[in-house]
Amino acid sequence: MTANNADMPLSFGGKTFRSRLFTGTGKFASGALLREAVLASGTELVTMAVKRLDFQGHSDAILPALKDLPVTLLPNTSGARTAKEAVFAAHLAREALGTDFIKVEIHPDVRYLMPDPVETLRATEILAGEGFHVMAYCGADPMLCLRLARAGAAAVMPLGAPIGSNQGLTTRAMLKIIIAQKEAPVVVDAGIGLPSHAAEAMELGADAVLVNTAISVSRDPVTMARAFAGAVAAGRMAWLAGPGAVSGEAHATSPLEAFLRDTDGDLS
Amino acid sequence: MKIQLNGVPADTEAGTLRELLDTLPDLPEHYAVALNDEIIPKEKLSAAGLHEGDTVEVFSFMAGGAC
Repeated sequence: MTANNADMPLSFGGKTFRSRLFTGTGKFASGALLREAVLASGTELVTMAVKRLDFQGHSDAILPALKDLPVTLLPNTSGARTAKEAVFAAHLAREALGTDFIKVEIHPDVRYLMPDPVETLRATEILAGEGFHVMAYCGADPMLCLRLARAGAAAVMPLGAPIGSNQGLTTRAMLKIIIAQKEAPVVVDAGIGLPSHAAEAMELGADAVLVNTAISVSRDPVTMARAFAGAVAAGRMAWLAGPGAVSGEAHATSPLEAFLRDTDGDLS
Repeated sequence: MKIQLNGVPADTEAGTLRELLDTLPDLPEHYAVALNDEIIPKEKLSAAGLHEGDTVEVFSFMAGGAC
């Protein structure tokens, strides 16, 4: 890259991230596969849920699989239905892990898992006030993203499509506005189903993307993780390079008129 | 003494939260404990007495979340 478009690492919450691909931990067939995929993705920020242990049944403990990896752990409040529950989950995460990073996820609706904007804003206000680095999962609502940033969110995480749906950037027009007027880093989260979707988000100017399902449910998660890493890097590079304008008309890439004049005599 | 442990009725001889935790198999390295909906910091687990009817919840980290 030239000096003009050399990238700066992404920083928030006192941490610096060279990779702009963040990943989740859900739906992997095993801890070993998760670990391999995380390594292949090059991610430096990995999210996992705070949950009550099930002493009766299967333990789905996640931290042993991530032990000693060069990643920042991002607990999330998945399962919380209200701001109060999310704040409680954040306090548990801080007590258990000693971290101030928290991804606020409040989605009481079980069918579409749409984040509740009112509860999310309330939780963000409270937790940011307590010194947490809040990453707020939210709808792709430009005004809400501004309000979350002004409430102290370290980053806003607007969705591309419903969680785990692999639909891609169905909220593309709103994401463009969110990015254009951002006051906190924008991490496009949820719905990214293919590396091309991740590249598209980065080409729009997103600061990072968070991908889970698209990697974990693919036939070969480790290779898919690598594909996402390449797509995110390519999309970021394209954003830095400054994409050309879109036009409704054709624009020749060589001087057509001169060619026609030169050959006119030969053809008649 | 009967308590509720992670949503399930349990019988325990433990006098403190610390003693109760020490009886649990598979306790992960990183966890947090709530006694009657109040989070008890690690350094206070040994001083936190258990009483009949208490609700104890032990939390840790699991795969998943949104995205």
